[in-house]
Amino acid sequence: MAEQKLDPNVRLLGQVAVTTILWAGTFVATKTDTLGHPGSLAMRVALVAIGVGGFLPVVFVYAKSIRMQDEFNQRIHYIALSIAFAVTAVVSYASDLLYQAGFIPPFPTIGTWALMVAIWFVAMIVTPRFYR
Amino acid sequence: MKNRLRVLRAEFNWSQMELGLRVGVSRQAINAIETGKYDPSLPLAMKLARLFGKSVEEVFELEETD
Repeated sequence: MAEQKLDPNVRLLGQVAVTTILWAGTFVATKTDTLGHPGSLAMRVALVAIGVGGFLPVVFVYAKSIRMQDEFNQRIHYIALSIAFAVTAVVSYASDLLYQAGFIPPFPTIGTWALMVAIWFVAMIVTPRFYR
Repeated sequence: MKNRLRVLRAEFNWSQMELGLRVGVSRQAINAIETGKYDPSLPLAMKLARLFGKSVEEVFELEETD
């Protein structure tokens, strides 16, 4: 019997779903007080490893999804990522200066990351409009 | 870069989607090439030209400003 190949897009969607669920699980699992308190060293190392290990597959799957797209859509992604990088650089630099000057509280690291992802997605929507 | 993609596509009575499927790119990519907003890579330009039985120079033309 001939082996039936799964559509690459369907397989990718499955991988996105699985890795996102895995990441959500590890994100929740590592959000304990243990990380912020001087508990067992092994426990803290394990929590960090689980947290980072759960996130890496998401990054690889998104990189794979970009590689699977055609050259035009890859270009859109590169432009969107460049915009996200530039805006995040300016915002994080400015927020650090504002914090040092005593105007705002410290900007959380995860906030910088979330900002970059948000700008990436917005740029992904806006950038194709310039190619119509 | 100017191109005759829209004219050639009309001659073959293909939609942008259909042409995109034949060369392995999205409809948006074909639209961006036709409007001159995006210059395709050399392999894609050659694929498009070959599909219409033309040379790359017959489909794509370099402008003075390029």
